[in-house]
Amino acid sequence: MHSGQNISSRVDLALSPLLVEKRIAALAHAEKLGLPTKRLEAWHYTDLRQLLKDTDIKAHQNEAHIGSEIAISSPYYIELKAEEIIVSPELMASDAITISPLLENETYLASIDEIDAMAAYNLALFDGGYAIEIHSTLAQPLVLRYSAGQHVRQKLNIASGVFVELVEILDTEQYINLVMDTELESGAKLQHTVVQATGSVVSLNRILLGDHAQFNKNIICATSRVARHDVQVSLCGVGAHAKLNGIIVAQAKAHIDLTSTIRHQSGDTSSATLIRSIIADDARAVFQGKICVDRDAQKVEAEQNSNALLLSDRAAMNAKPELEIYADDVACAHGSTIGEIDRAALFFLRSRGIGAEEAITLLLQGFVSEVLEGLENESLQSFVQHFLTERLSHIDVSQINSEDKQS
Amino acid sequence: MTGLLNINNLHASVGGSQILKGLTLNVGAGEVHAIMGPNGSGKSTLSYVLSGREGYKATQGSAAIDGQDLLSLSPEERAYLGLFLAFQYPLEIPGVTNMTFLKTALNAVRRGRGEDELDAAQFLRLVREKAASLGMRDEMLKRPLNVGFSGGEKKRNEVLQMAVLEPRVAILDETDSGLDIDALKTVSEGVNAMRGAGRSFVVITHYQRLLDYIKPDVVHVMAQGRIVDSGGPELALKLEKSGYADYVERVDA
Amino acid sequence: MSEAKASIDHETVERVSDVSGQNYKYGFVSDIDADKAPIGLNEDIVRFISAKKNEPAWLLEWRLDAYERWLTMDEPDWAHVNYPKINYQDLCYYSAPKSMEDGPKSLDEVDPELLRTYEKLGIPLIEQEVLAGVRKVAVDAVFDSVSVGTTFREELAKDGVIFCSFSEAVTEHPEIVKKYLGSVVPKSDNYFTALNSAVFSDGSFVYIPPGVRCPMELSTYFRINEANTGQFERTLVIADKGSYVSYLEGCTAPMRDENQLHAAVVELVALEDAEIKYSTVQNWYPGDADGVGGIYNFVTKRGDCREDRAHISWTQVETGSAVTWKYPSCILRGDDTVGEFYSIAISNNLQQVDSGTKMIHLGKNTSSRIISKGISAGRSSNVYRGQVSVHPKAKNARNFTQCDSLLIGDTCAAHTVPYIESRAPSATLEHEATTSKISDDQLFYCRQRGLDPEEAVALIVNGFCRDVLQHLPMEFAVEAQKLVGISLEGSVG
Repeated sequence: MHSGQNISSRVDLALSPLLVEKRIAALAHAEKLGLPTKRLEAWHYTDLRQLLKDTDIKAHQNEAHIGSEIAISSPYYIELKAEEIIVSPELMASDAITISPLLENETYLASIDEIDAMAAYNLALFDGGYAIEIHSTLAQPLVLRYSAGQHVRQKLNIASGVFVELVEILDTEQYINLVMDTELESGAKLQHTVVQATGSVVSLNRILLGDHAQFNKNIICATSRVARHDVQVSLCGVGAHAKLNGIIVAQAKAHIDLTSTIRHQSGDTSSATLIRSIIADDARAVFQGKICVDRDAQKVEAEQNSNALLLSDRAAMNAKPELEIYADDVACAHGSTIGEIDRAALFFLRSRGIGAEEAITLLLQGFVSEVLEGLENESLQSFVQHFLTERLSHIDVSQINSEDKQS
Repeated sequence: MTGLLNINNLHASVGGSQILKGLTLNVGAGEVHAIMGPNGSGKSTLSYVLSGREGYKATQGSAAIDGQDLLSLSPEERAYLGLFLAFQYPLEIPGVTNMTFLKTALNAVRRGRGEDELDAAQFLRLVREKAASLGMRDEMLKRPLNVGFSGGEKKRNEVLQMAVLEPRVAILDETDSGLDIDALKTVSEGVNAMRGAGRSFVVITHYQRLLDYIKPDVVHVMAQGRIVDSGGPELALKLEKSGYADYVERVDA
Repeated sequence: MSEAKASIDHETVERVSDVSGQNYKYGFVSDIDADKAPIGLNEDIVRFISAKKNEPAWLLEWRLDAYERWLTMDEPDWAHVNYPKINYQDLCYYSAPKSMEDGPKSLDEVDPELLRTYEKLGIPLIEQEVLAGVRKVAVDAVFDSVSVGTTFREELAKDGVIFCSFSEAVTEHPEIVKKYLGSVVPKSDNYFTALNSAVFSDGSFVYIPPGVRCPMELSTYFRINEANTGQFERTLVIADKGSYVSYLEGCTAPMRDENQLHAAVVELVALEDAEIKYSTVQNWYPGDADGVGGIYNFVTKRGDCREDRAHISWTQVETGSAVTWKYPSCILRGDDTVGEFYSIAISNNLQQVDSGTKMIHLGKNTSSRIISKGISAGRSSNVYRGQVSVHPKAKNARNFTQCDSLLIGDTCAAHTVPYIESRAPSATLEHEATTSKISDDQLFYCRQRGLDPEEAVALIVNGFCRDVLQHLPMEFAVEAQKLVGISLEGSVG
């Protein structure tokens, strides 16, 4: 997919000269670095070069696409399919939203310089994506659905005081490299939910928050391939707040990596992160969560929690919850636990007559429910609940040792 | 008029707002004065300004113990002069036992006064004696300061500290808040046992009930940053009946 | 007894509160003739060192091999520390006080200036002085690369305990040294272990025979004296089956303007049912208030719980060094083994600390416990970097980690970088970290009770560190508390 062909031949020269120049430079940079390996600190647990080569990571035999019939229904959607991009007529007609192809947005492209190899590849090769501006609160969520497309770049701007719900569904069988730059002006609020059902995804989301802006992101990832979701939030404005929730269900030979950097640049900001991971079979999950507090950012509250359940002898979880603190009047805490299903709870359910397998399933669902409650939209919650139930049902619970631990 | 504690025309501001607007109070040696007032009258501000808390600035007037000016001194220097503030919300200090804290404070104050410090054995005897008289078990002395203490236990701890440090002027800032009758009685007994010729108390309270147990010599009413009325113990009873409404009007007029 | 331990000795606090960067108590230089190697590092220097110590051929080969490896390695640069590049050719790798040339027959033969140095440091080299004290502590004193003397050797020898300098152990007990040297920290483990393995000069050697509970605490003091000499000590502690030893390492250093390098290697081996308690109270010169001078401390310390039910614990109070890079670790190889790490790391002025621990769970039913308290003040930077790793076969492994950082003032920084890796579902790993500051309310409360700001900070910080302090051997807990106070000098505005 990233062969060593002549670089200029891979960039569409019919585009504007500025863009072509940018893309050639980005591609050269990316090729020089190559796909990240674990020698890069940011990719310490995810050797992408190795993983994308590993043909063993095939789709789980039961992995199903989400299917449009159980998708979120909303009049506002953009669908990126193999041969075409569909933008819903209501979206086109709406006064609240303005979209324009990002490839034509010279201002944005001129301002971007990508250092990370994957983001550089994306800049060089992206062929789909929009600059989306939202001027007033939407009554219904905006749905972005990716059923195909290798490199996509999006830009999202939300005007002052506006509330938006965004749902992204990643449902490609192949590979997608996705970059999204989000900006919330003062008082804006974004509830962003990403659901990844299949395929391999390398996603980078950079978010800038203005004064009193509020950003909630939920990542639900249950692919059996490779996933890297990188969320970089900068709380630039005073009083901004960010919440990051994640549910990871990793099975077969999946490798799912959720990496976040939350940077408190201004005072009176707060953030909360909650990640729950269930790892079965030969799968692997990674959570790297970094909280930074700049020197002048006083009165900051930041907390982070990661909990993981390992359901097989071959499963693995790697966590790296980092704190980088330069201000003193702050309250920052993080916690990380890794273990297995609570035996005492299991015994309790069984003593009440619930069979071992059903009890385990109940506990797994309970394990992720706290994160689900963070999804404010009820129909979205219900959709995600169904999706997770379906995915969890693939876990062979009979293989899980449900006996009380012996010493 | 001189006394142990003299506050004259004190003005003070907090966060840019004037809270104390000319407060005058004279407490003679051995006397117990109560200050009552509605919320927002500046009662706590008074205690913080006297003890030198950061952010509470005296802008005019004076305060002195035994003729020695307080307002130019650091908080610990005021402690050397014999000032003690029993906090409304006593702080927790994890990992520092009650015992350690008391010994450190006592010896710091003694040093500040040019006195000899107590050695471990002397101190242990002193503190056990004081704790016993307050009905506090040894075990409480070993616990980290106020960590996991109930409201009543925290207040009792404040009284223990007062007993060990033997101040000349003790300000009790709403000591009764959050206490049940039994705790109230115990705390009051501790305070009463410390009444004496060389010591004065300023008891700040919102409710009259505490004053049934710690009987004041003088009762003051504070409103809008000043003392607006003074009288004997019967004044407290009157306040209980009719509330503070009169005083709010009076000040406005 | 707990009150004595928990209370702060006011007299001491007062006495040492005169100490600041300019008046570092141990900052004096002894005027002694030293026997030095030529400046620089090459194969000849390695041979020079080995010859000076009359080492057997196998050890010279070992050193040369390490030197070859070192030449191929790059200095690590991933730690959160910045320091000017060290010119390894501009240092002297061996310096011994001259009167050690032929070895003293008794303390009478030791250069009296040397002994006076130890008196100033308060080290009880003379047995009578130690006996007059409360407890027996056997002391091995290292002065710039050579072990000066070891007290209580005869008494320990009665139980079969070997406590001597590393050099002596090479001559007297070569079979034990050969068996264990490099078995916990291989030469090529990292850049600094390779360097150390090539040029190490001396350190301590401890061997506790099976079933013996070492009757006294063993202790070593280090000192770097000469300008431009690094110190490369090598320590090996072996606790044979069912034995127990408590070992203390404490160090001081004089004031110098050039930074000095300290690259030590400590290897601990605990066999079946054995326990090693290794405590460090470190007081290296941190550089003055402007960050000039001070020690670079790059240390590799590792303990191998080699057989079942072995137990190793590291306890450290670190307040010195201009730059610190150190991660005492435990390999929990045997079943039912236990690894513990308790640490207080204080940084002030312009110090940089990047340190932590690694717990590697390999056996079954292993458990590890990490309590790390970092205190940053001044313009310093303090990083906790830890790794807890559970191998797939490490069934029922347990880890509990608590890292707390306290920031004093708003110009310092505290970072936490934990690597938590599990591949065994029956393992339970719990990690908690907090970052906070001393609240203004707490400070005011203490001051109202008569403590001045520095006393208040020392009190609160000692409370913050209490969980760690109570794991130090009693005598050293008192010294540690003093250190906490001294090292926060000038941190309160």
